[in-house]
Amino acid sequence: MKISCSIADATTTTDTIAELKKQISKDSLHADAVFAFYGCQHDADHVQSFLHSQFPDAAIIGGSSNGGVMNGEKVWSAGSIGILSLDDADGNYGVASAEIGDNPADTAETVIHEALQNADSPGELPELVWVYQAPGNEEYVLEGIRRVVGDQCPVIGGSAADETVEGNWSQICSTNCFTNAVVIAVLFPSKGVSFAFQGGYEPSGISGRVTRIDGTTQGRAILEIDDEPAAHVYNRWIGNTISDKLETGGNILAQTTMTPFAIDRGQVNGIQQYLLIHPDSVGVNGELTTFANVEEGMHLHCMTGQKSKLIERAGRVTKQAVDQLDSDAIAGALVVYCAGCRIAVDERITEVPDHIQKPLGDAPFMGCFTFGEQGTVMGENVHGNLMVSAIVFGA
Amino acid sequence: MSTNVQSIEELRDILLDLQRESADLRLKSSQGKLLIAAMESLLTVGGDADPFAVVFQSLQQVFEYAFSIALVEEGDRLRCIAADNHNCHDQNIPINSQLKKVLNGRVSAKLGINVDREQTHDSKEMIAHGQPALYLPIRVQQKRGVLVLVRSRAANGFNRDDISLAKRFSLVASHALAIRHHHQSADENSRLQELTEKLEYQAYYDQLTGLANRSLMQQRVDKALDARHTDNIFALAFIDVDKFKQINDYFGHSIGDRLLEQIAHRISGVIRPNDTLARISGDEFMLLVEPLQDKQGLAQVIERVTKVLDDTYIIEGHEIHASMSIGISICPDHGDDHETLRSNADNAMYRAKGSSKDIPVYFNTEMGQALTARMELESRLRRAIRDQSFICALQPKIDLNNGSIVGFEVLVRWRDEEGTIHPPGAFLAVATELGLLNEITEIVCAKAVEALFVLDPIFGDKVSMALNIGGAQANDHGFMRQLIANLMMAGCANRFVLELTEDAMVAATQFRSLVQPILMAADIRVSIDDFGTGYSCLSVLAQIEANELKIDRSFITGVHKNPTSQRILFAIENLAQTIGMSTVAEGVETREELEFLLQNTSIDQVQGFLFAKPMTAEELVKMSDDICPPDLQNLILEMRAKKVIKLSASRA
Repeated sequence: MKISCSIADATTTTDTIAELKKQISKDSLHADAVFAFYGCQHDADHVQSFLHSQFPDAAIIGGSSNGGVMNGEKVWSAGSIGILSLDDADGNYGVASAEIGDNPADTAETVIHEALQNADSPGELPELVWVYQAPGNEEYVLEGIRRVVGDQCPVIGGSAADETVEGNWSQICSTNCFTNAVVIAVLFPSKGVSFAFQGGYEPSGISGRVTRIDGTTQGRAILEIDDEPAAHVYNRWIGNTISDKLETGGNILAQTTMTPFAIDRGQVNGIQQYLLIHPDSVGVNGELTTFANVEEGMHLHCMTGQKSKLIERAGRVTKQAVDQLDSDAIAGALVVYCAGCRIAVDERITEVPDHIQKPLGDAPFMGCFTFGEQGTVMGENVHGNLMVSAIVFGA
Repeated sequence: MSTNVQSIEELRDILLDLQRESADLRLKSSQGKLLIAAMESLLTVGGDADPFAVVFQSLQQVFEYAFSIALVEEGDRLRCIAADNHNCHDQNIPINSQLKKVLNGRVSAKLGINVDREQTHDSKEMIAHGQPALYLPIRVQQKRGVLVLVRSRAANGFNRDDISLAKRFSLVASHALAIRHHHQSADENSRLQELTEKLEYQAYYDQLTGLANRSLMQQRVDKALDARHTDNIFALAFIDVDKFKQINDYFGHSIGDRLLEQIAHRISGVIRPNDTLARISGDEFMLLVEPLQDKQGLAQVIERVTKVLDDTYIIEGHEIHASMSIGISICPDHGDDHETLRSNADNAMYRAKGSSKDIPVYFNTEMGQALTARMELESRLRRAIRDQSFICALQPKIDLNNGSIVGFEVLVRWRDEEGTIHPPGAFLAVATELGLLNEITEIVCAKAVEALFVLDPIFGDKVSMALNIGGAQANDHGFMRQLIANLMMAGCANRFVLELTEDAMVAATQFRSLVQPILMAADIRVSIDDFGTGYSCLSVLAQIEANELKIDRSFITGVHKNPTSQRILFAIENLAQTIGMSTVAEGVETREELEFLLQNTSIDQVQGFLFAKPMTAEELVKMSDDICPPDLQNLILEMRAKKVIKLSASRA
């Protein structure tokens, strides 16, 4: 198993691809699987067709990432395109994709079967399932994947992101490019793989119960908390930070990155585990929309974060994955860092690559920035927000 | 683990890591035992007995499955050579892509689903579709084969842990089936014996140092616990190489490894024959000192270890000074199970790391209580924030020109659920570490604004409020902007003074560039607190647009009889005058101190217990006449008048 990371950035997609091509030629890269991410300003069709021409036999999966990509060198610009290529003749990799459509769970079920077929492993349990998708239906997509692999293997991934939450995201696979699809890769690496999935927030001590949701939004709009308009309650919890939006409504993504919600996921030996939910906008009627599904009766905790903790967390998540790798050497890693956390740490995002690189030694990694993250918490594959995940491949 | 514990978050991580490691260790240890038991059974099983049954007896203790099948490669098919169901014997199935991968060495799990798309099928007679199955590669003599463990349709599918476990058993199964069909030769027997020994060594010993590993240490501790008599004690010592990562980074991993070998060698040379030394992870060693009649015996062993580790290490011509942190827990005083003893020794080791180096630290109950207390304090503080259970204690500031009350310093107090009032020293450090300080400051600031409504009718609407701000807060542009906005919205921004220590000022570069312009625009004043105790960098002072300089109490206490304090005080006063700042003397507690200040300095304001201790706004209102009583008022007016005359005369 050999992993390489190639990244380029330039003003136009054509120029960036030309630069990337030079690097690929220079390194004479061969790939059995390719993870590819890019800033949403790029022409995704062009990126996909280029990658397919370079790696016609590889399982290609990826999509747009908020603000571009990062590797051990730095956080690149929004104009960057990055690939992490896996050269692993003894492993099996397969990818498939489809428009999400009206029934995301059925779509995901069909897609993962096709991915297994494409990996020449129909009906086999993969080491890991990697999923990249348009935001909005993650819980249903996971349900479809679960119908096939249960929670018997980890499902890790992210929701494609743009710069302004305006739907300018895209997803790519070996043969197609989409704006509202689910792309699934099944991985059977020959030298093992490990993963970790965590959030970097602590409970503030404030909590309430969801008493009404908007059923037409698939559980992504909270109307009331403790029988009061949700936005008003939340505004009070977080020290009136979003007061200016209560009348007019609007995007609160940036103001709330340090104070997301979380739900209990149970305890591990007495230590509480949380899954984060990021409120992203306020409606004029006092409702809050979120990046993950919420149900009536759920107990919502108001969490707090600190920049330094969110920065260090990426390193800790990577270290945890490294510690669990059942292999003597590391080939490389793929890191998903929530775009919300990126907004929260602001200019200090430049410190994150060093923290990730440290536990990896000299092994390369690539990181993308997403609008939702999928991973395993307490043995269950779930969708959360403001999370960080790392998958580490053995060499 | 070679850094100090920084926060609750890290404590949680460490606890989780320990629990994960512990669970992993227990699992691997039990798996290792089964593996070794299976190998030993194979070596002792009679020639006519079925070794296949021995292996499956071991496997059934770990995997749950309905039935098992052993297949061996014959041409382009697999033939069943053993199975729970005798009807399967000698049946053939084609080699599909999954079986091909298994024959090439991969362990694979079949999902418990009916896959219509499946192109390749196992033999329908043996494994029906929808039955979860686990496939292990095996070797039967020179032939490749597959061992299949099949679950019923209703059962859960095999997961990644099962696959990881199956990899470990695959080798054992190969050997079992090798002797299933062929008589063991002496060579083969010897090879198996070697393999068993190798497996045993790998399972229980550290490859680098040859010391016991974590599994063996756990066994030895468990044994010591089982064998312990009422009067006996034993101890666990956690030994951590300080800054090992830096050593590795600087000298390279090869020298780092040699250093670990030397450390192992040195400790091994001074411990007693029955003691066990283990390397339990990268730079961590654990020493089991057992048996022990008394603590004196333990102290002697630890002293020898400390001493022998103290010398410089010479490795490949490099002189390396490596210090160790040692934490010790004693059974039964500090726990009567392995996990507790280990965790307490670990805790003590962290204390050793945090204090003087090279001094071993024995665990005590306070350390355990400290951890619990800290977690408890965290949740109480979070509740206190939710319930806004903080109160403002206000200490008056007196104008030395006329004895009037010109302002108050706001000091935070926490009133807990039982009504006990806690001073800032009891909670601010933890609140800062937990990132709760901003919220507490906001609550206190809001309460200070409310207090003005109570105070103004008595003290007038010109009195100021001085709020303490930490260095990190001052640098937090977003927080400061919000705080300023809150004060402006309350319509009293111009009555507030923000007090920052000089160290905070120096560190808060963003404060100077981003926050100060907003403060000035809002007419909020800035005071340098505790002046004289910190960095006192004149170049930084020159850049700060501060309005006031508060002279630390250490220069005021007993100033009338301490010439050194007097000289410093005059120097600070001169400095403040030069850069145009007003001055406040903190901690004025005696009439003599006040007289000295009045007679010898031009300090503008004072605060201290001579006038009033910090109290609530309501208490201040009640006590308003006693804060600067007539005798002090007269003293101030008379002495300041004399001072003015004296100064005028000297200037004339």
